[in-house]
Amino acid sequence: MELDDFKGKKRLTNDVTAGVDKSDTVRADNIIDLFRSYQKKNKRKATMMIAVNFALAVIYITNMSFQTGMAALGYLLLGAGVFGGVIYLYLRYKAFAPDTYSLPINDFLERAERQISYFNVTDYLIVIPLLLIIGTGGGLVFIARLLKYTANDTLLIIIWVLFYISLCAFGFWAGKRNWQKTYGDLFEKITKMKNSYSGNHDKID
Amino acid sequence: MNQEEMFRVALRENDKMVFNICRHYFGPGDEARDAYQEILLKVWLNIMNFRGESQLKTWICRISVNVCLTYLLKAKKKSSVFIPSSYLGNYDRVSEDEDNPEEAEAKLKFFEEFKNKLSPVDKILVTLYLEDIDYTEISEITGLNEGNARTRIHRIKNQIKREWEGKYGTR
Repeated sequence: MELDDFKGKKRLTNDVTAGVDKSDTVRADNIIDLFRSYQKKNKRKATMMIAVNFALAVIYITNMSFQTGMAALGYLLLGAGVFGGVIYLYLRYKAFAPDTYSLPINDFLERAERQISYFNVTDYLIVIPLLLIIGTGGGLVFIARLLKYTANDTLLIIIWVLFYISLCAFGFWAGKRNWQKTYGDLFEKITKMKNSYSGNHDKID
Repeated sequence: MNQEEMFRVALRENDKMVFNICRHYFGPGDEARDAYQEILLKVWLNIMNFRGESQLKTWICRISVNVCLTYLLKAKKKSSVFIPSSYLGNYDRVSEDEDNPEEAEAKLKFFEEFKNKLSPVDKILVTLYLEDIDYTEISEITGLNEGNARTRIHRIKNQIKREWEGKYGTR
């Protein structure tokens, strides 16, 4: 037996083209309609995400104008941080960019691995400063509000730092769990494929 | 040409090949149909970015194999899958050409099992080879150099022959 016994030509000899022309037009129309509505839905989703976060940033910035001193600075930092976060999230999770798929397999696997990894170096370089900005902003607002009740600002700083670090750690952990569920298998599959592709050309499993 | 016209051209000229790639890769079943639709979606989303640096067929082939490689079951179930009815059913007709339908069936079964044992990349190479895509194009699609692709396919050919002979002798 030869591999060539299974060549497509041999398999698809019969009525493949019979009457295809007519139904093809109808089918193409249907597909195009389906894809158009898909694109529309996706666009709506992205717009929604940007709008909600943008509104949040605007609320913080607006709040800033009603405050003075430490609280005003806090709101400004919060607004800036959230806004930066929106831009980052949009670009990072714009999904698997469709043009990635037209790359040769090896480039595709590399890009895909980078794109779906949970956090890579670039992410850390962007996310950590953003979290610091938001954390500082939040902290300033928190302390400015609670200073009315206590003069112990060191205690307030400690409470805020502990709370914020726990929040970030929880977010990281929950995000990782969620990522593992959604992309874990695919990521593992891609990494394995990439390794077998780049490092082991001659071996046939 | 606008997006719609370009998509129609792409569909008309390469539709059958895309469907066959999915069938080779996933076998006859819903996965192949879903992957097929996923590929058409990627083609639709990207068709305006096609700059003619490679042939349209090669470009679509790249999309097809990349989608097949990363296709996930979790992918949302589509409400409808557009497959020309004339494509369906041909996959299993390999036995019609044979004098001995039982042996043809055995071959087909053996081949499916053999394919499932291959690494994802080798499976893609076999898929492209079976679609009669030449080595230059295979190399463009996969990023492997031509010699490497040739060697891998040659080894797969030897392997399938060896395994078949080991199991059924030289018939």
